[in-house]
Amino acid sequence: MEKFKALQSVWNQQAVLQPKLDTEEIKTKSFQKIKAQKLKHFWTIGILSTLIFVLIYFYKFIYTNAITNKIKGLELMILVIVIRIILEILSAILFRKIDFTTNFKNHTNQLVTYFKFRKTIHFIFTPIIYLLYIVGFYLLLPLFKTKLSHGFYIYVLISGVVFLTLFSIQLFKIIRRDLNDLNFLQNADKE
Amino acid sequence: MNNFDSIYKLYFDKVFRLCKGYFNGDAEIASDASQEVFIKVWENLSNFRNESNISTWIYRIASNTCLMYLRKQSNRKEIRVKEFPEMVSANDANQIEENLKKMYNCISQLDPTNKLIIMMVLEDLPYKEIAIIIGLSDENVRVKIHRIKSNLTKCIQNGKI
Repeated sequence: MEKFKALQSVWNQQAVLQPKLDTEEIKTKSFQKIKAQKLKHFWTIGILSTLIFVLIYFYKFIYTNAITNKIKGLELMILVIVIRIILEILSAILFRKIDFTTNFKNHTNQLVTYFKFRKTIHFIFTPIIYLLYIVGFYLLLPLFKTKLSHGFYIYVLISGVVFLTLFSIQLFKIIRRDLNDLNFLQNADKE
Repeated sequence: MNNFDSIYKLYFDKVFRLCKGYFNGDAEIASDASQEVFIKVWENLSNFRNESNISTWIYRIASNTCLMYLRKQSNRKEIRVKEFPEMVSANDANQIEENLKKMYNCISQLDPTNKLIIMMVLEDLPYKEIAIIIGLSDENVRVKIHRIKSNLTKCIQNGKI
C-alpha cells in the first residue's frame, strides 16, 4: 500500500483553509436560522388558518344559504385540503425527528423511511386527494353557473383548469424530486 | 461558549476537507456545507453527552450534513463526475492541484458510504472511530477500506474505478 501512502501525502498537501465566518458569525447565523424558521411557521399557520376560516365562513354563511340541492362539492374540497395539510404537517414532524447526530447508516435509514412515507403519500393519497378535489370543483360548477354572471363563470372555469394544471406540474416536480432522493439514498445505503 | 470556539478552530479545516472530497473538490459547496455543520454543532453542543469522542460526534454530523447536501438534486447535477483531467507539465503547485483533482475525480466515482470512509482514512482517523461514525462493524470497515484503497490507487493510474 505504498502507493496509497503517496495519495495520502497528496491529500495532506491541501492548503489549510481559514473559515469565512468567525464563531460569532456562526452563532448569529444560527439565531437567524431559528428566527427564520419561527417566522416561516408563523406564516404557514397564519395562511392555513385564514384558508380554513374563509372556507368555513363561505360554507356556513354563504354556501348553505345559497344551496337548495345536495351538492357536496365544497365539503369535499375542504375535506381534501384539510387531509393534505395534516399529511404535510405529519411529514414535516417526521423530517424534524431525523437524528443527524447518529451514525451515517442510521441516519441514511431514517431518511429512507421518511422518503418511503413521502412515496406512499404521492402514490396513494395524492391521486385520491387530487381526484376528489376535481370532483368537488366539478360538483360546484352548477352552483357557480346559476349564481355567477356568464363572464365570471367562464373566468372561474378557466382559472380552475389553469390552477389544476399548474398544480399538477408542481406536484409532478415534487414527486420526481422525492423519488430521486429515495433512489439516491437507497443506493447510498447499499453494502 | 469558549468550548465551541476551540472546536471550531480545531475541526473546521478537517470538516471542510471532508466536505470538499464529498463534493468532488467544489470548495464553494464544501464551504456552505461546513458552515451548516458548525451551525448544527453550535445548536446541539449542549446535548452532547460525552458518550463518544467529540471528534466522532462532529464527523457524524459532518457526514450526515454532506449527505443531505448531496441529496439535493441541484447539487448532484453540479458535482457530477467531471472529465478526467489530463496531465500537464507545470510547476509544483499546479502539479499538486492536478493530483488533487485526480483524487477528487476518483473519490467521486465511489458510492457515498465508501467516499466517506476513504476520506476519513485520508484524514488519518482510526478505523475504530470510522466504524462508529459509519455504523458498521470494525471488521466490515477494515475489509471495505482495503477494497477502496486498492480501487482508488488503480483509478489514479487509469482514471476509472
